[in-house]
Amino acid sequence: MLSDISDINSGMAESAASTSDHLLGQVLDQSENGLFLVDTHRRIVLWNEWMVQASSISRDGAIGHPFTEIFPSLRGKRIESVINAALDTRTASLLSRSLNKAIFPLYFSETGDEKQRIEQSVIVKPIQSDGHDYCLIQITDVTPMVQREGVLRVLAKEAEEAQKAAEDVSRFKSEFTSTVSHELRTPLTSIRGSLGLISSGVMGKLKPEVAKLVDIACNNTERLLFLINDILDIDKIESGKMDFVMGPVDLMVVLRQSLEANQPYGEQYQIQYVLKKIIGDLKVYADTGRLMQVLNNLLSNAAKFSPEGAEVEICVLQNDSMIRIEVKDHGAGIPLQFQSRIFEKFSQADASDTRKVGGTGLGLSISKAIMEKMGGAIGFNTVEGKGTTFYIDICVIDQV
Amino acid sequence: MSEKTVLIVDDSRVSRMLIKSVVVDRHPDWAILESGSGDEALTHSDEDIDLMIIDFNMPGMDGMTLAEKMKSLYPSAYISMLTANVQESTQQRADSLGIGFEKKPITEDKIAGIMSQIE
Amino acid sequence: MLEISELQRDYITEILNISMGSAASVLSEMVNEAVSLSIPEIDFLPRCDAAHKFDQINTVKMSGVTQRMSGAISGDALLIFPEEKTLTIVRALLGDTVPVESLTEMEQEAMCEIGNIILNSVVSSVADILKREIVSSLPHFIKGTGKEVFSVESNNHDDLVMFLKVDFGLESQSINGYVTLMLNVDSLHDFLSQLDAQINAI
Repeated sequence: MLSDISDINSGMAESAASTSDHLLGQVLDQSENGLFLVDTHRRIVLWNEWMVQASSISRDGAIGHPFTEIFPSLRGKRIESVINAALDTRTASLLSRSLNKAIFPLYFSETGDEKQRIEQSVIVKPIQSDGHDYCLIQITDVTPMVQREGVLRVLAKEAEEAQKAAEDVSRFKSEFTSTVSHELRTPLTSIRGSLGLISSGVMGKLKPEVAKLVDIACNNTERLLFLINDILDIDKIESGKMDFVMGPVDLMVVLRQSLEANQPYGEQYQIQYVLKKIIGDLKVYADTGRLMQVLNNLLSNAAKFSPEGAEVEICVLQNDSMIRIEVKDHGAGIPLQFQSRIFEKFSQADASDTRKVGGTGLGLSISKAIMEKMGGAIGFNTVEGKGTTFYIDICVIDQV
Repeated sequence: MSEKTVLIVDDSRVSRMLIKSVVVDRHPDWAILESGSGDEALTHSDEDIDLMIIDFNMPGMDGMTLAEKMKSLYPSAYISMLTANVQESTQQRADSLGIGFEKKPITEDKIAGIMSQIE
Repeated sequence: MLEISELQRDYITEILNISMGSAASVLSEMVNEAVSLSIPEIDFLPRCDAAHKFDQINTVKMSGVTQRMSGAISGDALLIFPEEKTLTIVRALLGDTVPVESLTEMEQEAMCEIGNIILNSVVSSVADILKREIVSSLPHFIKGTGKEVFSVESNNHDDLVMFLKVDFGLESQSINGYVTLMLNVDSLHDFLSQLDAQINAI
């Protein structure tokens, strides 16, 4: 199709030797990339329109001239050795923008005082034609990429700073909670101690009305202390600082211990705990203390919300690799509008309930967090007016 | 030309072979000692050595560390470092120690240049 | 694993380390920082064994650069590192501190150039030993598990893999990566006989 490189060049001129040369010349001139060709004598033999515009060097000013004459500032630079490598050993190279800031002196043709430098990515490739070796240099304008990158970096930096700030807040909050809780606990312990001494009669016998008042004070002090412990627990769980020593746990042993511990509670509310269904010799995967904490919570809740004289039934069921422990009460059930919030912090069905049944309102949310951390689950079934069954699911290890 | 003793230190046996053949070609009467590592090279400390050609990139003790030690053990010997990776910092360090410096690959001319320092 | 003699291994290592040294010089000068490159291990493995080697680094995400070779050797040349190490290398050389989780467009381009410099030097050493021409394509960025990235190769049962462990030394740390070149049995024979000829000429 083409006989001579000069034909290609003339193809880029208006009056071309042949139609195909003209067409090819047009194609090269319409390219959005800079394209130029260097021969084995390091002279420029092809120079497209993009190059003309970007370098302000005309075709006549470039063709036939040594590369280093056109770009004197590039003598001895990496681009020169890479062009030599292409011509001497047919090596292709890439000159990335980030490792080679501003390779060729090329500018956008702008009206105005400021000449804007074109950000470049350069590809250097050996070409052979008609037994002659050439080096093709292709220049891509990567200015938009550089700008996008700039924006990306700013956003990434902002995101990092925001994250750090959030972590700082979280850490501060956590330290604050534990500091405040400790600060609250100390005086409360003193108050409880003093009240305990007084109510025991050691400081002198109390008149019945006085004893009653002291009792109220004691109970509320206890209540505050429980509340502080619960708050600290929640904080520990949320910040991941609660220790779980997981291992095989004999379920029936823990269950019986929990029932025994809650016996006085049951008596106080005049209910009976009944172990309805059990599976003997069962080992589950849990932390003993934390499991006990959850069982205590469910048993005490069941007692609190049961009518006097009722029974609270406990069943242990197995479903494949999971064990379910159900605690069933015959209380008023959980109202519909409250059901979705039951595991949230400080939620009790009714503000008036709180005073009646005591408790901190944190028990279930702590239990939920504990069960989840142990790889189990917690849930409930309820019928208003009939009663509620709370259950926990836990992994079984083996059955002896 | 009097007899000289040359110590070649390089973990590559082929490299040592190459250097040795160039030296022996030009000075068949010179004695050649070879070591594959810095530690091995230091065992020759009781010998009389006139020229040391040391490879920079060796496992264990690197060439520069060895050269420093040798400089104090053999103040009159000429030491030249051979390296594939010429870094300004390495070059400066060599200059300040008074050690010669040659870039690999090893050629006859380069070895000849080194030998001329003690001929 | 193919058995090559101690002397052959020594010679190849020396030649490769020399050209890696040059590549390291080029990189050092470009970024104005101390960079060192060396090849502590060389193996020639049949392709299935090479795939097994990649099994060990199978689940780790790898990234790096590939170039297609033609001429005396045809196939893909790979330079790969565990992904987070590629990040470390590029960021160290560019002096970047931006905490973006994976390489940005521009950083990938820079890695391509780094890979191009290193692979070109390995390929040209092999070509020198063979005394024949090998032409490399431009570099492309690749990413995936060790196995995924490796099976970018063409399915040629006669393939042997030249498996190089690469030590990329930065100012503060040294990073291990791999270079693999696909050879075929004939190329390897040529390679070894040329090696022997050159060793004997010493």
